Amino acid sequence: MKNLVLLAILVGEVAVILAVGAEELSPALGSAVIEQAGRLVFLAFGMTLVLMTAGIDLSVASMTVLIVCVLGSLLDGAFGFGALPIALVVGLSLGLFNGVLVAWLDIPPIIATLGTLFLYRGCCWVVVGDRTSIPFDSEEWALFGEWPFVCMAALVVYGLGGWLLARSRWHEEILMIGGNRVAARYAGIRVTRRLLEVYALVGVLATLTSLVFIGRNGSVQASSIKGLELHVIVATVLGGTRVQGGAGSVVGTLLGVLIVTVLNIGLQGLKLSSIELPFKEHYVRYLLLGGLLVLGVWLNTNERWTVSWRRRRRARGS
Amino acid sequence: MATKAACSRFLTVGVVLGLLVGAGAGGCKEAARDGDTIRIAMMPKLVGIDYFNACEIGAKRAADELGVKLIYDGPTTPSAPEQNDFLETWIRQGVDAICIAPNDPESVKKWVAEAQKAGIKVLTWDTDASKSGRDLMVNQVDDEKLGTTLIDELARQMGEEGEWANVLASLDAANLNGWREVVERRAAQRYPRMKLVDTRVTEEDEKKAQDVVGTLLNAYPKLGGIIAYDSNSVPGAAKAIQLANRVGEVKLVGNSTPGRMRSYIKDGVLECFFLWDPRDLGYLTVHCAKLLVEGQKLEAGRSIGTSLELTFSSKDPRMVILSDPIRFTAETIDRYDFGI
Repeated sequence: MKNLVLLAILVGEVAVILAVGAEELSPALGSAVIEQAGRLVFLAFGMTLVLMTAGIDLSVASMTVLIVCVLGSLLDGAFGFGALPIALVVGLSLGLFNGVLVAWLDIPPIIATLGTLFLYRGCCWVVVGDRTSIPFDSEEWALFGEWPFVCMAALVVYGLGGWLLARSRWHEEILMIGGNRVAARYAGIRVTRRLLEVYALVGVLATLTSLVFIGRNGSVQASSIKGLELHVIVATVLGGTRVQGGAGSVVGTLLGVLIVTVLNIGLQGLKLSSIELPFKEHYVRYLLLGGLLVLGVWLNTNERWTVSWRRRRRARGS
Repeated sequence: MATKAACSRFLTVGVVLGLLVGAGAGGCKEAARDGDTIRIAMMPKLVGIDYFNACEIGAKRAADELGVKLIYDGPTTPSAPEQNDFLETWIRQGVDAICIAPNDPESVKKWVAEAQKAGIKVLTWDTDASKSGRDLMVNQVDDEKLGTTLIDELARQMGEEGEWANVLASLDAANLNGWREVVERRAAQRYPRMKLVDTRVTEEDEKKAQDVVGTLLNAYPKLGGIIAYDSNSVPGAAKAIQLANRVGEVKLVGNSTPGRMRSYIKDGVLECFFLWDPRDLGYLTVHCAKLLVEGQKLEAGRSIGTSLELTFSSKDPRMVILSDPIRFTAETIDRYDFGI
């Protein structure tokens, strides 16, 4: 039900942009939406799982950039596909490190990953060092930034991942950890192990995101994509995942990612429309993003209200 | 109840997949052109700072005169990946020319190539991406000339002696670092008794510049001079020198806008600073873009508008130079109104 509301928002958004920007925007809304969604879509899947466990991962942007930096510097810019396993190992270990902090050392996730947000970003500065930026000879890798790859990868992650989630005990356990960690432990769920797995998975998804980054950009700076973690959280929460844990939907997250991306691209392309707007587009970019988030959260709580109201009515009826 | 939920989930997934596939297919098509209006997309390093707002004023004036459609937009922070997002959107929309001030010249290479493949003319302005294969660079000033002017001015004020430091927005911006290289080279050759002690980064932010320079002043009690390379770093540095009570002791030279520097220069925090007219830079860029789109020949001496004419760099035949740097002092500052 909630997803239908999100879908309506998305369709409405596309309709408004097409109406204002005329048909000129339609090609831009195609491949560009998919390519630019690439940086959010995988991380948002990971963020959904993390939020389900009542955790949060603020380090996703730093993690992604660090993987890119390591790749770029290890192989001096000219790397082949042989570097893929290295990227995966780096991503996995960064994610696992977050997991260790949260699961073993029992540091609250928001603090632990706030720490690694700076820690990983600091590592980027160390890796980049005196150079201004690390360029890559990315012609071979360019395909990772293009829409067929992003689309396929997103289909695999969301389609296969979502399908597996829907029918697995693992998913139930994650939700239960988010709902009540102590109860989950008493129920015999291996909480530590599950948390490690979830955070490590985010590392793997960050690796995927780093590939998209390399495909799209000719170089990386230590300060690249600062603040991306917030956009990931906006997309995820908008998609109906509860920050308090215990509930969430990957389909909703996918819709959230699309809503955020379409908004961005729409505003980038709106300038070409024949209608003269009385304001500059970048004035309203954050306004709309913030507005959408608030709307999304409101819809969430509102639905819970509706459900409990329905339940009450049913109870009265019986 | 359960079937209903499953049903809605199924429907959602179906529609999303449909949208994605449809969108992907749509992406293969070229954008439809409407009419004959030339469409020029122009991107600063970032929007919302007065220097680039002034450039926009000039660009708009040119667009009105020439009857072209101008899009002037960009990221709100000096971010290279975000600039690439704009480039992609504009390429897909099929504009005729893209003028970009790249935050990192390495980062835009792919999109410059992609734009040219789609038949779009690519210009750089304000700052260059020389290796990207862009069609033209519109440079505000000759790099060699500005760098020499800056270091000579600082050396004169410092009596060619003492410790000095660089302060600039970022280590990636090609223009700022081009000037910095000239400055450092000339300092090493000409002024052996001047010692470069540090280079600090201010991220296009005046407040940050103030903090950075404050730290710098504490770290080097014998510091005698600062060269600040961009419009935010100079006022930030001036404020920091004022707060640290080191006015006169620490000489400040740099590039900034008259509006931001007026009070500091009247207070004597610094003797002079340099700039070109940013409105003319925007104006010249749009003119050059239109000439390129129309396939006209750009030759030296061709007049642009009423007051400008094309001058080429001696080093790069595909680089247009706007003017010599203008020197602003307490006496001359009121003669210029750049709107900033």
